[in-house]
Amino acid sequence: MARDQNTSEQYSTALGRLVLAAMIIILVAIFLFWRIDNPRIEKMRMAVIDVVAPNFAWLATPVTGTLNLVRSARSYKSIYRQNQELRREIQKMKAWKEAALSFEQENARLLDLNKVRLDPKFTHITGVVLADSGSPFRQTVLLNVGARDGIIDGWAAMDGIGLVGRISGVGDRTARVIMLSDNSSRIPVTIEPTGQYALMVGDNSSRPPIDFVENLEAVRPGDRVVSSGDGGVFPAGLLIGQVVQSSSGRLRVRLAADIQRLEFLRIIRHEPREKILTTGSIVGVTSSTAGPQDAE
Amino acid sequence: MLNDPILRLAVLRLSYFVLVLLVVMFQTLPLSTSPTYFIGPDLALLITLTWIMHRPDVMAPALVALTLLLVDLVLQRPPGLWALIVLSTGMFLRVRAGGFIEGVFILEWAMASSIIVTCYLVYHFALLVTFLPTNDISVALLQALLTVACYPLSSWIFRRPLRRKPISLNDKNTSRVAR
Repeated sequence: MARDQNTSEQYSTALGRLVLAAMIIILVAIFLFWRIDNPRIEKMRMAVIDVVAPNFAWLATPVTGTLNLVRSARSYKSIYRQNQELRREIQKMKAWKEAALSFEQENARLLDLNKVRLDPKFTHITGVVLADSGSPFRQTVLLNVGARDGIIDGWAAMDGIGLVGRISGVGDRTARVIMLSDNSSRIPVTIEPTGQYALMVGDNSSRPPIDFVENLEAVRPGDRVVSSGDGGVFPAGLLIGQVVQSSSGRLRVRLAADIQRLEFLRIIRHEPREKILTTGSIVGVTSSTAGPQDAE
Repeated sequence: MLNDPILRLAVLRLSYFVLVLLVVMFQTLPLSTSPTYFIGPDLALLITLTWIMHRPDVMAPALVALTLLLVDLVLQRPPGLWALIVLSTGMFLRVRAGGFIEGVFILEWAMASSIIVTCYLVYHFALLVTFLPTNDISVALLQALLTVACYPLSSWIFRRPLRRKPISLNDKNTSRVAR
């Protein structure tokens, strides 16, 4: 009893209350400031993460190493069965390879006929995944490349095959990638072969749904989904995945990228398309000024 | 080993900070980057409440506020909001902690549980009021319940390392000076 009085007396001193009040005011201020002027605080957040996250590496290495060891040990158990399966698959693949080769030749011939020049701007930077969001409500990963390596907000992140997400938040040495499955991810897409424009909306599931499709009847499961580049922030024509229909009848996208376990991501360098600001002029009237622009 | 109470206090404070940071680091390890349906307890909250319950003298408001603010920043939550809620409820608990730790465990658990659930509810409504995107409240409550369920374990783990030394006259005086 005596100790009780002692403690309650101990923590409600004037100084203690002052510190508590100051802390509460600071936290309220930070939160309100974040709500009002989001980008500035987010920049601060990236700066903090920039300091903290690279230090995670020493912890991550042993843990992921052990985990990989366990995983590979588990796979040894079923190695014989796997081997048989792989043999069968190789047989099938050989047939596909023949088909692919003939298609490749045909494609090369057609490209040659059309004199198509594939976009030379699409070079990439590769980054290692440092950390994920650590909570079940967000789908983001942190990469070990940042402003130092020339990363800019809005660039696309891919694994070897398909789109994974886009850069949102760049620190000096780290960059955050919002994955396509995150709640706040919205990507304009084109559904091939019909060329329907749609929006892919992340909802924290591994198969994000498609919204705002122009003509629902024209879309069917199995169609390819690629980024459309609407809005100019995002490069067009990056493979995203395939349309699937969920049991409730909603159209969703099965991502081509393997987001189960990301280790490396490619960041696609992309400059926004040049904007055409002037209206067109009649040929011949102002040819002296229009000439050099047209040449580009 | 650490006879100087001031030093012991500093070591405990530092270890709280490091512990929470380690837990968050483990949470953010990129072991599986696909969306999961498994939701774990909020370990940072659990540790904070357990420590406040056992050692209210260690958990100064500034320590709790700064640690949780850092966690907010790293975990991509609205900065300051969760820290603010846990700080205010935690300090409410801090004044009353001594009685619970000497009493029956059920009471301690009930108190901690009500604080955990309050934190989650207040957080959810604060998000609603400020027009921020919220998750399903059932998911938040599930996490709250898991945290509540883990409280006895956490209390048992930390009981021994956080035990107070028997109070001597000398000790009391120095601790008062230290504060």
